[in-house]
Amino acid sequence: MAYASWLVPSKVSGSGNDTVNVTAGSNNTGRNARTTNMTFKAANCEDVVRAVSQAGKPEFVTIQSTASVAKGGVATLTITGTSNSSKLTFSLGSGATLSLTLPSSYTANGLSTNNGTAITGDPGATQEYSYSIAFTSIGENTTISALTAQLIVTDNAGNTATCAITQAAGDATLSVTPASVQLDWNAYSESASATFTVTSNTNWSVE
Amino acid sequence: MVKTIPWNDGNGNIVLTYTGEGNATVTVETDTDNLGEDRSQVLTFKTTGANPATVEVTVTQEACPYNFRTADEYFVRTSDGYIINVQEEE
Repeated sequence: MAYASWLVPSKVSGSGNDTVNVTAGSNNTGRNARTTNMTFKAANCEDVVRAVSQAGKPEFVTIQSTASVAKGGVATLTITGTSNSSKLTFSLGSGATLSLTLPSSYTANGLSTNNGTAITGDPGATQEYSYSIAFTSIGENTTISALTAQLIVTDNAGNTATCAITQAAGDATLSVTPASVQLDWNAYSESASATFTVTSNTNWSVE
Repeated sequence: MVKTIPWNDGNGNIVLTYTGEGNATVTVETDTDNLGEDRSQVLTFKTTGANPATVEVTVTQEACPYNFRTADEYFVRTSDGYIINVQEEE
């Protein structure tokens, strides 16, 4: 039986006493070690089988470090990352000024997966996979300040990664009603006044 | 804060009292009666900071009538803005 394609021997034939060095042609991004057998053959001799193992990559999770939302909001904000964990759990950081609803599911290795539950087939056992989580219907920023939130992803080993989400500051708004007011001719003597009502999300002046 | 803006027509000022913060009301007064003709003036509200939003409004003060009566007196306004207290001849 042939050895796995990730194994690269320094030579595949020889004569007499010799050494064969083996290297890995690719990193093992899965959590689990992988093993393949090399079979040494010689005429009139029994085959000699030797196993070669490559250790697995320690469990990890990454996420994009930042994500931006336009001031007018977005229909969908997708955040991506990679991992080799059997389970990912998403949560929102405290102190957020941007209001987000955490999705109940995300996509891992192309499969829809509920937040905090084991990923079907455990793809991370053999190789790292990509995942994405999508926030929907993020509304307009009606303030003049940028809004922020944090998405935290935790793998099954307790490793965490954080994405800082920022929504750009909204526009200043201003409305004044009514469009005009009238004072009586003797408003001063009568101590009469009129009133404008201002609706705004920031400071304003009148001139 | 109190801000005075001179009337473009006639004497006196428009007197505005406001906070200038978010949702609020602006009280509009005048520090003089209007002994002239109707007068109106456009005021501009403007937000602070970059890309300010602006809104224009109009303040009007009606003219003093050419003649008017109080509870027990009768007055006439002259074309040059004087108010004359008219006394009935005994």
